[in-house]
Amino acid sequence: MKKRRSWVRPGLALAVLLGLASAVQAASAVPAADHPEDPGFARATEKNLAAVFVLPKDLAIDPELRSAADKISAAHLARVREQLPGWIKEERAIQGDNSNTNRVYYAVVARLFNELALWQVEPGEAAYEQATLAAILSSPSVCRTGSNRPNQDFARKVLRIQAMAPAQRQAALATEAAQLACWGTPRTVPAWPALHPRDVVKAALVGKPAKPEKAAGARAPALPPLLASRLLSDGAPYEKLARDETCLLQHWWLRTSLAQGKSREEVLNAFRYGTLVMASDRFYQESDGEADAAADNPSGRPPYPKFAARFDVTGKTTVSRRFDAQGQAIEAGIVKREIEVGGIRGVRPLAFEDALDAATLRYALHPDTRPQAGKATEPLFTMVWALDPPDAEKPAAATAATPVKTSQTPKGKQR
Amino acid sequence: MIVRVLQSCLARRALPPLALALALALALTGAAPANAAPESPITEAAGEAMWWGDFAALERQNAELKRPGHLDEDGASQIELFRTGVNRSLKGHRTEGEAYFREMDALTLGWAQDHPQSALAHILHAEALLLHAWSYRGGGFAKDVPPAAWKDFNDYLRQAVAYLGAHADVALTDSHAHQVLLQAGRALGWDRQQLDAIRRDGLKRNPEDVGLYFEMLSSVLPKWGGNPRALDDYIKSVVEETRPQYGTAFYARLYASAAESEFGHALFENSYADWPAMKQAYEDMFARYPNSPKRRNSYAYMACLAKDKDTLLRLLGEIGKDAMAAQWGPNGERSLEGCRRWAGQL
Repeated sequence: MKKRRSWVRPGLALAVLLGLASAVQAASAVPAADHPEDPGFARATEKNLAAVFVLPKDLAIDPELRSAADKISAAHLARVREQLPGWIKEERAIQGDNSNTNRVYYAVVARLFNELALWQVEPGEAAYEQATLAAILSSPSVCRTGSNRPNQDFARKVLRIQAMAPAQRQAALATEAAQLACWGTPRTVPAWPALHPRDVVKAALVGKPAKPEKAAGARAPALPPLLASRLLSDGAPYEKLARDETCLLQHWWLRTSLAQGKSREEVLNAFRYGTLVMASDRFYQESDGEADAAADNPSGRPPYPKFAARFDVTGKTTVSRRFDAQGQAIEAGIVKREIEVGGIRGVRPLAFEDALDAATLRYALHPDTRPQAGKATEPLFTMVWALDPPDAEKPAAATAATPVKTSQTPKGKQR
Repeated sequence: MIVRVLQSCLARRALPPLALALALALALTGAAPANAAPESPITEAAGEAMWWGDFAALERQNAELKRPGHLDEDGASQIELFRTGVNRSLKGHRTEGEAYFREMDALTLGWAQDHPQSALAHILHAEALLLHAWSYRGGGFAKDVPPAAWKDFNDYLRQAVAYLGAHADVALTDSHAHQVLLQAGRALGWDRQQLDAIRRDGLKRNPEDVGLYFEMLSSVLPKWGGNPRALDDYIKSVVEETRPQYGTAFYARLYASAAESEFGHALFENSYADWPAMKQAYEDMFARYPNSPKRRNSYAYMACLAKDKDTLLRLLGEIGKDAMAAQWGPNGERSLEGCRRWAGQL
């Protein structure tokens, strides 16, 4: 089974490092601006973030490039160190004097997760884009970090820069530095591809293994040995692939898409989204999934996903469904999301845009949600996800995890 | 010339299953023979590049290593180390199924179509077909091979040969192709003269491709239809061919390989291996390539097989704590222990 490790686990790391869980009750009475836990939280958060920006010692990077990359990360971490106290104060100001410290911290962490995500999909200037695509095409080794941890964002970018021509490296490093300097500011990034890159690749793999009698041209191009072994011999599903393997699969699909005539801009965007590390990957907690599964009640309202509740993720998800002759939904896909996340303002909450997907799809495919007899089976279905107003006296996660306190409204709007 | 040999070979019928059944399966180059170097950075890099499907990296490594002068400090051919890594990854890291091998056939064919002037691309496709063939045959005893598997085995072997024949003008510029042909030809039962012609043609392309000597050696082993006399004749002929560069080293290297592949502890009883000649060959080797713990272990193992206690004791003393069980036969740890006990060290 794929081992998932969190970049930062406020539920664990913050509670353990800062004694947050026991401190929350007392903390709520302290004036927001002077909360004694804030400096410690800022230090712990910076430390966790630093793990993203430290290139592993055994990663094969040219010394000169490594040195230049290290300078960029040091400058960025210094900048974040300056920014974090401001972000915390900003959050406390928004939440008011009775702000719940736990909610404040989750909001700040959400903002950081989102900055990481935006930075992953943000394109650079034309020359940077061209050099990046050429670097990715030059070798699948740009995917090889040797680690399955979700904090290899910077390492992947540096591997790509290493694959560029020496003359392009300096400019690419400058672009990376400039993009990092934009953290915390409103900006736009390209939209998701029309179809999720994961689903596109899954569909492309359906024809494998090919029947011997099929013509070579009638199937997707061949996989490299690593992927052939994992997918065809092991039978591993996409979701069980390690991060490097997922990257390699998206790399394979990027080449394929280009050969099929897709634009360079389009394939690069799909690659970035296909390898994007979402907040739920960085903050994975086994207990959340178990709690969600245990709370699942087929005949009632679906439980609010614990991860989404923890990070104050709300909004609407619209599902497209396909039905069989008996009116049972046999296929469902998210076609629209309107997501809001506490702490994220002025930019898309990209890192959390899938936070309600799984619960939505589970609900949409459940036999109990089929249209009533005699009614038309409309393909679109919208769910509205709302949380109770935060209770300043209780930790936010506990509030969200309590079914009684959780009010989510899966309105089966047939439209 | 080599194309004619290919055409002639293709026209021949493959050995029937019964004849093949008389021979034990010989693992392809992916299974490390006794004389293979321990995992080297070259093998590792080649294996990784193949495993990740990085053809450009493979092409670069191959182009560099097939140039003259690429010998390890113990005289091992670096291009052999490269091929070992490639073969290991192309074969898969586990027991792969039909879908995997079909995918490898398609992958390498795609590389060859994208790079029609690349000898390596064509060779890799032939090698993929060869590995596909062996996936049916397996590496076990012939009696354990399902009858239906022989047809697929032979079909894929012939496909590999036919492919190299069709692309001979490009593929045969790299002696790696000759190695693949020797592997396929041996399994298809080609006669020794044909195989030797392939070996010689390969060595013309790359005189430092010593892997071809070892590949041909397999064809003269009794288990592949050879006999001890033919083996000895072959080894002596190779010694003469290689004397200017290696002295008599190949006498030791090839007989040590024969011990690993077939004779084991009975090398000096069941073959014409001559211990004084072998000893001299090792000394020749150390005069040229003194820094080789691996070969020193191999030398000591052979001394044990030859019951030369003085030499064994001297070598065990030199080896000290650097004993490498992998150089002491298939059950190396126990073999080393037995030799030490016999020499009175334990």
